[in-house]
Amino acid sequence: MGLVEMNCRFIEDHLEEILAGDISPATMLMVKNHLAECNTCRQLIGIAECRLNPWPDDAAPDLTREVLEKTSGATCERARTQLCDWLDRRLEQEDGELLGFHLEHCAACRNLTATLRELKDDLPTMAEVTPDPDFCLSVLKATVAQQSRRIRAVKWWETLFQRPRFAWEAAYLGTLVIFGFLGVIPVSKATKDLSAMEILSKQPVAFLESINWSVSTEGVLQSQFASGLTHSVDVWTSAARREASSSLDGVRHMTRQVWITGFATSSEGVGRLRKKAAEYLQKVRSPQHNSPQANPS
Amino acid sequence: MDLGKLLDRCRDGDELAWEALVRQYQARILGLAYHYLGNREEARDLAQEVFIRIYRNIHLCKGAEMFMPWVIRIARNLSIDQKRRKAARPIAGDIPVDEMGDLPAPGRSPEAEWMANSRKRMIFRALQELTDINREIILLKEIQGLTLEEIASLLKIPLGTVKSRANRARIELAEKVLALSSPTGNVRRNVWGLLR
Repeated sequence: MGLVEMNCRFIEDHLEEILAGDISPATMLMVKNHLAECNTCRQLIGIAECRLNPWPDDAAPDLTREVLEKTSGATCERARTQLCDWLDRRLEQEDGELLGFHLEHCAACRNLTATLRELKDDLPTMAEVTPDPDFCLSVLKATVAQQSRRIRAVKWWETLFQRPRFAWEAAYLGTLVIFGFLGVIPVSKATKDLSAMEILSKQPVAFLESINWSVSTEGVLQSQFASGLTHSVDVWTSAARREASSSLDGVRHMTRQVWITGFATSSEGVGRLRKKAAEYLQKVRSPQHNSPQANPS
Repeated sequence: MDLGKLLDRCRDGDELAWEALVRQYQARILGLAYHYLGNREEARDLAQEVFIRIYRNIHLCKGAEMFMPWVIRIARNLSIDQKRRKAARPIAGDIPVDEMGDLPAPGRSPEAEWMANSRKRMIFRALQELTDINREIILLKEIQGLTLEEIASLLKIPLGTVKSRANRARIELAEKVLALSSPTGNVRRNVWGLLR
C-alpha cells in the first residue's frame, strides 16, 4: 500500500484490514493519528471491535419490544403459560432455554417467576391450621359417644325385641302373614267339613238350623269350638305376658308353644265337630231315623 | 403407625386408634375447612362434622391412599351445604381472614414466625381474590397435594381442564401476591382490611 490520503473514508473502506492489522506500519501510524483526532472513527473502530454498544443503554429493549409488537406480539403471555411447567421441571430442554433467555431480558416475568417459586414453598405449609387445645377432645366426645352403624343397629333390634309390646306385635304380624298367605287355618283336607266349618264360624245358628241341629247339640259344639280358641288365646296371652320381658329366644319359644297349643286345641274342637257332624248325618240318613217309629212325633 | 393400619383398627372399633387418627389429621382437616370457609369458628364446626362423618362411614374408605381425597370430598360437600345455608340465612359480621396467623411454623424465632404469618395472611388474601374454581384448584393441588386426576374426579371436570386451570390459577395467584406486595398493594390491602 503506497502513500495514502488518510481520512474517514479510508478508515471505513479499510476497516477489516485495520482491525486485522493487515496494513503497513506507516499506514497504521497514519490511522492512529487520525483516530486520535476523529471521534467518529474511534467509535466506529470500537463498535467494530465489539467494545462499544452502538445504541444507548435503553435503546435495545425498546427496539426489541417495537419489533415484537410489529411482528409476533408480546411474548410474556407465551412465557407465562410455560412458567409453571418450567418451575416443575416438566418443560422440554429447548423450550426451557428459550424461556430462560426471555427471563433474562424481562423483569416482569422474572419477578413473577420468583413469586411462583416462593409460593411453591409457601402453599404446602398452609395446609394445616393449629387447632385449639380442646379440639381433639371435643371431636372424640362427639364421635366416641356415638356407636358405629352396625353396633347401633344391633342395639336397636335388641331394644325392639325387649319391649313388652313386641310379643303382641309379633303375634299380630305372624297372624297376618299366616292368614295372608294361607287364607285359612291349615286343616288336613278341604272337604265338605271344612266349608261347614267356615260357615259355622261365620253363621253358626243358620248353619245348624240348615242341618236341623238340635239346640243342645248346637250349644255343645259352639262351646267346644269357642273353648278351644279361648283356651289358645288364654295360653298365648299368659305366656306372652310372662315371656315378654325375657330374651328373644324366650319370645320365640313362647310363640311356638302358643301356636302349637292353639292349633292343637282348635284342631281338637274341629275334630269333635267333624265327628259329631258325621254321627248326626249317619243318624239322619239311617232308615230308622226316617221311619215313623223312630220319630214318635 | 401408618395410616392403613390406623384405618383398619378404627374400622374394628379401636378407640385409641381413632384418637390417634384425629390427633394426626386435626390440623390438616381444620386447615382444609378454614380454606373452604375462611372463618375460624365455622371451620372448627365444619372440621368436627367432618370427623363425625369419617367416624360413621370409615368402613367406606378403602385404602390409605384414598383417605385424603375421601376426606376432602366430605369437607367440600359439607362446606357447600354450609355456604348454601349461610346464603339462605346470612349472618352479619364475618370474622376477617387475619386469623390465618394461627398457622403453625415450628422451629422459627418469633420475628421469623411473625414474618411468615404475615406472608401467609397476604397469600390468603390473594387466594380470596381468585375465582372460586381457581381458588379450589390451588387449594386441592398446591396446598393439599392432590393429583390432577383426583382433582378432576372430585370437581367432575375433564383432566385437561384441570391441568390448564391449575397453571393459570398459579400465575393468577402469583400476580395477586405481587400486587399485594407492592407499595400500592400495601395501601390497597390496608384499605381492604379496614373495609372488612
